[in-house]
Amino acid sequence: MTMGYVREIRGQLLPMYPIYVEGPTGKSDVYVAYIDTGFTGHLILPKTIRQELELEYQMAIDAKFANLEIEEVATYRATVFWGDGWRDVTVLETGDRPLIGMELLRDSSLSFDAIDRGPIEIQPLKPTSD
Amino acid sequence: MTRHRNPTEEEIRLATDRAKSHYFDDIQHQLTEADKGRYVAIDGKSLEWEIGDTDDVSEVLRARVPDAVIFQLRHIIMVSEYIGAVPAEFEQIIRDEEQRLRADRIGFPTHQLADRREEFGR
Repeated sequence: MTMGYVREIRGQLLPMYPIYVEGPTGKSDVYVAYIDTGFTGHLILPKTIRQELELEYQMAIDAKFANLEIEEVATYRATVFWGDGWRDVTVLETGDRPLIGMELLRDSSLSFDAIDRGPIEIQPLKPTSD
Repeated sequence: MTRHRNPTEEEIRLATDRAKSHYFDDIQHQLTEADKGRYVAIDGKSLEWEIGDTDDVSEVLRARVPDAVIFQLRHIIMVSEYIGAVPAEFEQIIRDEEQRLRADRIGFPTHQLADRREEFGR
C-alpha cells in the first residue's frame, strides 16, 4: 500500500504523498505531491513535469485561486496509479509543486497524523450495503 | 484514441481569446438560465462548440474536431476548477451550513466548555 507522510519543514506541516504518473508515450515517474483539499480537481503538475512526461494537451479552463484571481490554466491528460488500479486524470499545469486534489480523493478515506513524520493513509471506500 | 499535436502556448492563448469572444458574443445568447453550470467546450480555431452536463464534453467536441484547441467553461459560472477558493455559487449554502453547525455545536463538548468557564470564572 502506498503511504505518505506529513513532514514538518521550518515549522510548517506539509502532507506529502507519492504518486506514479504516466504520459501517453509511456514516460513515467514517481513524484511527491502535496495533498490540497482546497483544490477541486484531480492533479496539478508544474510545467517541467508536464514536459518530462510529454502529456497530451486537453483544453484551457478558467481556475479561481485562493487570492480570488481567475486565471486561464491549460489542462492535460495523464494516467496515475491510484488505490489499486490505473486512472485517467485531468492535470492542471500551474505552480511549482504537484498537488493532489479532491477529485482524485473522491470515494476514498483520507487520514493523517498532523505531526512530523505522521503517516498519511488513503484508502478506497468500499460501497456500503443496505 | 489518436494522439494530437500539442498546440503552442501562443496558439492556446489565441484560441482561448477567440473561444471566449465567441461565447460572450454568440453562444451565451443561445443558452438559457436552465443551462447555468453546464459545461461548454469551444474550439478556438473552427468555433465549433458542444454543451453537456459533465466535463467530458470536450471529448465529444474533439471526436468531431480532432485538431481542436479547446477552451471549456461553465455557462454563466465560467470557472471550472477552484484552487484554495470557494465557488461563489456555494456561498449561501456554506453560510447556511455554518449557521447550522453553530446552532448544533457539532463537535464541541458543551458540558466540558461549561466546566472550564466555571473554572476560569467566566
